[in-house]
Amino acid sequence: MNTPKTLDMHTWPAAYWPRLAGMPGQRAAQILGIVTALTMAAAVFAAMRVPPDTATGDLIRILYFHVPSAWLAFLSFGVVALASLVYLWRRDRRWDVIALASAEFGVIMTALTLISGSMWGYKAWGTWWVWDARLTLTLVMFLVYVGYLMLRAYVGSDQKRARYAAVLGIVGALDIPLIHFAVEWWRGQHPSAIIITDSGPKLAGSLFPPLLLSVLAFTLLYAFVMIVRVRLEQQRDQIAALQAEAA
Amino acid sequence: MLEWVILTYGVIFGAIAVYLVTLWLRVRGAERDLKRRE
Repeated sequence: MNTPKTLDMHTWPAAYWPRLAGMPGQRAAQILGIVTALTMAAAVFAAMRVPPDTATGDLIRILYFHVPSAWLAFLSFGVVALASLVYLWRRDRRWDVIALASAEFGVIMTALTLISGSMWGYKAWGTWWVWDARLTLTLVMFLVYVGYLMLRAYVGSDQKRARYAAVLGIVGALDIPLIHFAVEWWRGQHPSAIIITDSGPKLAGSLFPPLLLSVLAFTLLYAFVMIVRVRLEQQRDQIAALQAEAA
Repeated sequence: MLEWVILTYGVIFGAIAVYLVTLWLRVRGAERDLKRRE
């Protein structure tokens, strides 16, 4: 998902996060990477240790990584919307970079949410896909943000690209509350909410900590990816600035 | 059923691993490019 740079890139300030570009940023990414890998390993271990569900047996273990994938998709696109709003207000490249980094990872996590859900559904429902409201709205969100990345790849001018992308990034995030409430508003096949409900988490006591651990591991992964991806975009802007200087 | 669960985990972590490797390759490429130009 390369973002082509154009000649007006020098209008962006280069190395806008000097600490992130240098050693402190690299060190932070390394430490966070190790902590994430360890937490992820612990989460897999914990998910494999939970007792099988009475209704779906071992399939319950898919939930421990399907739910955190969906959480990261929501978090990523929520950050895209927030960063885009701030970008439209301040016109500061840094917010555009945060939105881009978050959208890229969000698309991957949404795809993984859809795939892991489909794999669960194939065994639990006997079908890969149903046109359930939550599933369909998640697919729509995925397509909107694939469009967001395509728009970023094809609009030539940097300022225009950032502006258009910011608008699409905000509009796409309107789907997040719709997906969350879809299981309440429309009767469908997707199981109802088990964590964020009016009466608190519905998951049995011993099953809840492993899920929290997976959510924590995925959130750390998000932080790690964001640091590395934002550093990369900063480096690309520095290269573009040097190119413009030499031209 | 456990095989199916392991396959699903493989898909999830495999995809994440592929993304992280491509990200690392892109970072390495940009670092080299930046050093060369500086």
